Amino acid sequence: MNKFDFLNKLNNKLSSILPEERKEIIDYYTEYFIEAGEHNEENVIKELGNPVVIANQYLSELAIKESKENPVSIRKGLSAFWIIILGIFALPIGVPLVASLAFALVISAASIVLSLYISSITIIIAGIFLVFISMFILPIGFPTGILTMGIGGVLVGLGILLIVPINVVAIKSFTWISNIFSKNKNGGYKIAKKTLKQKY
Amino acid sequence: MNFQLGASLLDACVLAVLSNGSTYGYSLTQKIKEIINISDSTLYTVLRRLQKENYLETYDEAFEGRNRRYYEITSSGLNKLDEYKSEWKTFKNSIEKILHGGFINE
Repeated sequence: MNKFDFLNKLNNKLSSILPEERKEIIDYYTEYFIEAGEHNEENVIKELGNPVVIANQYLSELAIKESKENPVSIRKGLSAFWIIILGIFALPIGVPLVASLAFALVISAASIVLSLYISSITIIIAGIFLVFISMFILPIGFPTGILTMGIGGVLVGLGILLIVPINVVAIKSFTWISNIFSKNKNGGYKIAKKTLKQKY
Repeated sequence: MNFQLGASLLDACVLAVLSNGSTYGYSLTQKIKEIINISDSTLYTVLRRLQKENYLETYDEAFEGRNRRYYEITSSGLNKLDEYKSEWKTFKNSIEKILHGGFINE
C-alpha cells in the first residue's frame, strides 16, 4: 500500500460525510505525507495504521457530536441517567425508610387487632364466669340466678360473635399494608421501565 | 507507558504545544509524540474537535510551492489551557496522595 492507496481507502470509507469535511481530512493526511517526506512514506503508513480504523474513529466522533447537538434526546438520556443515579443514592436511605414504615404499620395493625381479640376473649371469659357464678346464686334466689346465667350466656355469645368482624379487620388491614408496599414496588418499576423506553 | 491518555489530557497537551507558537499538523504530531506515545491518526480528531470548539484557528501559509496548514491557539483556547493546567494540578496532587500513601501535603 502506498500513500495513494491509503488516501483512496480513507476517501471511500468517508463517503457518507459532507464532501468539504472529507476534503479537509484528505488534505490533512496528504499534507502529512508530504511533510514526512517520500523516504518516510512506508513508515508513515505503518504509523498511521489502517485507514478504515481512522475513518471509523472520525465517524464515531461525528456521531457523538451529533448526539450532543440534539438536546431533546440528550435531556431524556440524562433524566434516565439521573433517575438511576438518584435511585442508587436513595437506596441506603430509601430502603430503611420504607422498611421502618412497613414495620411500624404492621406493628400498629397487629397491636390493634390483638387488643380487639383480647377484649372479645375477655367478654367470653366474663360470660363464662357469670354462668359459673349463677350456679351459686340459683339456690339462693332463682330469678337472680337465671338473670346472671342469661347475662353470662349473652356475653359468651357476644364475644364469639365479635371474633368474626375482628377477623375481617385483621385480614383487611394486613392485606392493605402488604398492598401498599407491593404497589410501591410495582409503581417504581413501571416508572423506570417507562423512562428507559423513552430513552431508546 | 502504562497510563492511558484521555481525550481531555490530549486536548490539554495539544493546546500547551500550540501556546508556544503556531505549527502545522506533522510538526505538531512529532512534538506530541516526543512526550507521549500516541498514534499519528489520533491527532487529527483532536485538532478538529479543538477547532470546532474555537480553541484554535487555522491559516494557510505558502511553503515550497504548496500550502501548509498552521494551527494557532485562540484566546479562548488559552483560557481553556489555564483551566486544564489548574485541573491537572488538583488531579496530580490527588493521584500522588494515593500513590504515596497520603504522606504528601500532610
